[in-house]
Amino acid sequence: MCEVVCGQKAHILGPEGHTLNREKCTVCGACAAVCAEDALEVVGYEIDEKELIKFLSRDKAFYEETGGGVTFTGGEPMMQAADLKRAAVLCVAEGIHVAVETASLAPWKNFKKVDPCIDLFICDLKAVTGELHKMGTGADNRLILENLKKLMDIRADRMWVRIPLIAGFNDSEAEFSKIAEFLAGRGVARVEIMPYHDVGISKYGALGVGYPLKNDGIVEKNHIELLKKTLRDAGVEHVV
Amino acid sequence: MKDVYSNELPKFDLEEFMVSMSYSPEGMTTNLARQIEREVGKKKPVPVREADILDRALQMLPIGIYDDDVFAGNYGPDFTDTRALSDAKEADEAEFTGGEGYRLSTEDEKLISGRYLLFGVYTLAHTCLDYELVINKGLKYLKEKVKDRLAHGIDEYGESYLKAMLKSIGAVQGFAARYLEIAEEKLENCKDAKRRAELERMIAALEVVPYEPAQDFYQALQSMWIIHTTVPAAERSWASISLGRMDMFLLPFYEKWLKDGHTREEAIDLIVAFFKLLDSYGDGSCALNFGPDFNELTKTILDAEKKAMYRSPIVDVRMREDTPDEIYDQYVDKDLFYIGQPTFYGEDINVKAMEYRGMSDKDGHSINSCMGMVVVGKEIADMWGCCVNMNIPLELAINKGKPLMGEFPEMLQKYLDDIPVREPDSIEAIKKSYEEYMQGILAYVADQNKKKAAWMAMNRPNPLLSLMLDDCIMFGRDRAHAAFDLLGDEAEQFMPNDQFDFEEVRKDRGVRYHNVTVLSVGFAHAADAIGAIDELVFQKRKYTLDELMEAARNNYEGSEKALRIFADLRKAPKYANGSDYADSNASFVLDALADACEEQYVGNIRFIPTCHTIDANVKFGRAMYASLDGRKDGEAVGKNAGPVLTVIKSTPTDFMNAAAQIPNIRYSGGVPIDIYVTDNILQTKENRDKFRGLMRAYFKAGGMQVQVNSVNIELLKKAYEEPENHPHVIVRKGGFSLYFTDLDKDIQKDMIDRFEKEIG
Repeated sequence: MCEVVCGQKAHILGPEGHTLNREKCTVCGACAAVCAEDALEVVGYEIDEKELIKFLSRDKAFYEETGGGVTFTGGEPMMQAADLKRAAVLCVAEGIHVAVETASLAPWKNFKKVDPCIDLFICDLKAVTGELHKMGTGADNRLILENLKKLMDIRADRMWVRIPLIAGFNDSEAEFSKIAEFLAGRGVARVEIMPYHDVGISKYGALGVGYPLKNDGIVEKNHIELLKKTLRDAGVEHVV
Repeated sequence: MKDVYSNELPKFDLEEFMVSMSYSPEGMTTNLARQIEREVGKKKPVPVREADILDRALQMLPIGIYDDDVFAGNYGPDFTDTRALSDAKEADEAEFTGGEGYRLSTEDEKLISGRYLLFGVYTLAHTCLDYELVINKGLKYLKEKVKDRLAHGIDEYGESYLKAMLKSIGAVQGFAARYLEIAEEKLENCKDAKRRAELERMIAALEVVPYEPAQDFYQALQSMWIIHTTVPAAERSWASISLGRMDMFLLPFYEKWLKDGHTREEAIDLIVAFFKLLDSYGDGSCALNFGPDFNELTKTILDAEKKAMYRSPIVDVRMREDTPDEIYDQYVDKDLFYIGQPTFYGEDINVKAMEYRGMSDKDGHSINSCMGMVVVGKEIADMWGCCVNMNIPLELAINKGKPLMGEFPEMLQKYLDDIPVREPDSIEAIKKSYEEYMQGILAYVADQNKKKAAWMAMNRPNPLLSLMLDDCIMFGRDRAHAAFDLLGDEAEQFMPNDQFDFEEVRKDRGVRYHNVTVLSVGFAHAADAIGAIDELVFQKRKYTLDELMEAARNNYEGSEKALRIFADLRKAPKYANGSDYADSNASFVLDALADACEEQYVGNIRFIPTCHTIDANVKFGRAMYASLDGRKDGEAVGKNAGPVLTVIKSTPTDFMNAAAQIPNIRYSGGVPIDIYVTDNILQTKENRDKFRGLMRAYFKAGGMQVQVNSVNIELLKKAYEEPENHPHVIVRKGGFSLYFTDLDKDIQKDMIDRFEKEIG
């Protein structure tokens, strides 16, 4: 039925089955609405900051009872600092706690811009070793480390560092010793290891994208505990 | 136009539904006893006949005591031969397929209930007995009360009813005596010292309870079990008979038990043995009720619940705004969540709801199974006594008084004839008509309910149950008698014979609080449809009402236009999906139902709306044609107070925000919402604290009831594929616990879909 309601003719039903031409798709959602098998789904939509705050405020009572709030997350919010600030200021005015999840790969001026209205930064730290970071992510980590240092200087008690842990990438004791050295004694409110899992496989499939890693990145429980110990022994506080 | 009589889309079978509400255990002899009494009891007053049926049933019931039984109370196939079993089965079949209590009056009633999902019936059982009174004072106290009432003079019918109560007490005593005899025989032949001691304890108890007050913790449980067996046998239904505040009324017995040198572990074993009986013979909605008054026994019973891991009893907990975190923490427990327990209730709002429906005498209130708060020993809750398909008033409102498909039979149409036919030229006009048609429909279903209840009171009275419910002794009337009185002259047709004078019999009432819950089926669809009509027809003027109706009649198939309408309807704002507008439409349709229910209050009968569908949302949906929100022919309707399936992926707070907007205080029949959590979520204190906060916020916002579903999704899928290998996977459905593999395949699939979508 999707091909009938699609004004852009983005859906093609051929002998090979169904394909979606994403170039033509305008994300109008008509196809997803009629899909009998719920195989199509529109994820995300545009919203202005006032509507957004109205929507977020619906849950205010829950934030208050659970100590929760709003978390702005990726696509990288720190690359959209002006928009982020407009929304965050409205949250603060409503008394809603604001957190930002970031890979920290953004100009420091962006951090400075939003700093007053962010209650909590949750910063990724994937690797301290430059080449390793480049190899795993394709990006240079010097700016990331610099930003983290600056944040730790001014608001360590209002930031968390999150280490995505991936087997074969950053799970060596050597790398963790470097991470430990970077974080030790800085008083970061929470340092958490986030072990890789593969529940994203189905999402990649739904987007028509190949999934290269599969089960290879999963780290064993005992090893995770060992790495946590490495951090704690080196003087990193609040490791969870 | 489709033929509403055809079974191309299978109709809902109300007769089958009424039978299904009995949950009769195998080997039960009530219907067999009825067959025999039908001949020998012809000339007896009906209440006396019913007491004799109970006596005969309990005498014929195949009972026994297994070598490892802790309490006396087992019965069923193991204790009889195939011949006797097949006699009982045949009697059940005859009663269930042709018995007056399970038959609808006409084909028209079958169509109205089966196709349009509008009905009124009387559902048996569903009450919370006053076990505290029985174990502390014994049946002899009630016997004295009845005798005292007789001594003060009462009309002829009242006299026969009270005498039937006395006979019922005798029947229960006789039943206990049968176990006593077997236990004595067992003792005679037993050489094992430990077993002898157990049998001696059993004999000592059976010599006392339930006629006399219980003397210790063991005897209290034995007394409860005998009552819990005999009342459903008399009622012919094991549905939702709950235990009340067991941790409170058993506490003195428990403390004395410990003081006498017994241990907590022994107590847990006794409670587990008691639960085993409940699980073997009751339905999955027999509820334990705990609250903020947490004590040592509460903890012991919870430990027994976790040890037993049975389907029954379920655990309901009442939480107040001032309930300390430590008490919450006792219930936000991963082992309890694993077995789908507990269901959380906001006590403050539930008590207010009782006040709203006029229950002044609400001390000692308790949760009855999955249906909200009741007053123990003073109330019957005729669950789903009425059912309303919430889409029908909308169809009538936009189609000038006619349903989209077919025509209503005269027995329903006459309730709608006086309603002015209004042009559906604005959303306001449609809403006005919606309210008026709702009133007409309620008048119909409430009348049907009163007729069934009146028939029940006069033709299937239950003197044993009535004995235990205030104020049946005072009036000498059956628990459901209010309906017989309040129906007016029409009730005369339900007089079983001319032994008594109609005018004299009809006066007075039975139970103090006679509540009938009115199930709203598909309210989210009706609400979403109103929003979509407002947007597409009146604001954007994209389609006409006729075009929408035509598309719905054709199941949104057959033309490109129908398909486009379907797409637009599905894209319109939905209830419980973050839209204030859609949520306000849900409040509108539910308020319309509540208004109509309150119009039908009569005497002490209260019609109380509820969103409590359990899993019937699948079965009801199967019978319903496409609705105006884009739901297609036969698709399941929304479950409980939840949204339609297409938007179920919204967050728990979306549900909670939306459900808190429902006029909860008017919905004391229950506004359950289902929260699905992955089975590892409660492993950290941080997450447990968050969960507690979620409950607190919801109850503070006016929410009533949250049911937790914490089952491993992979396990459910395996149980779906290989039921034979997973017979003991317990799941929850609307306050009810049951084994997953006992559910219909369709319902299993629906649960997996919902669970999967919700935890996303």
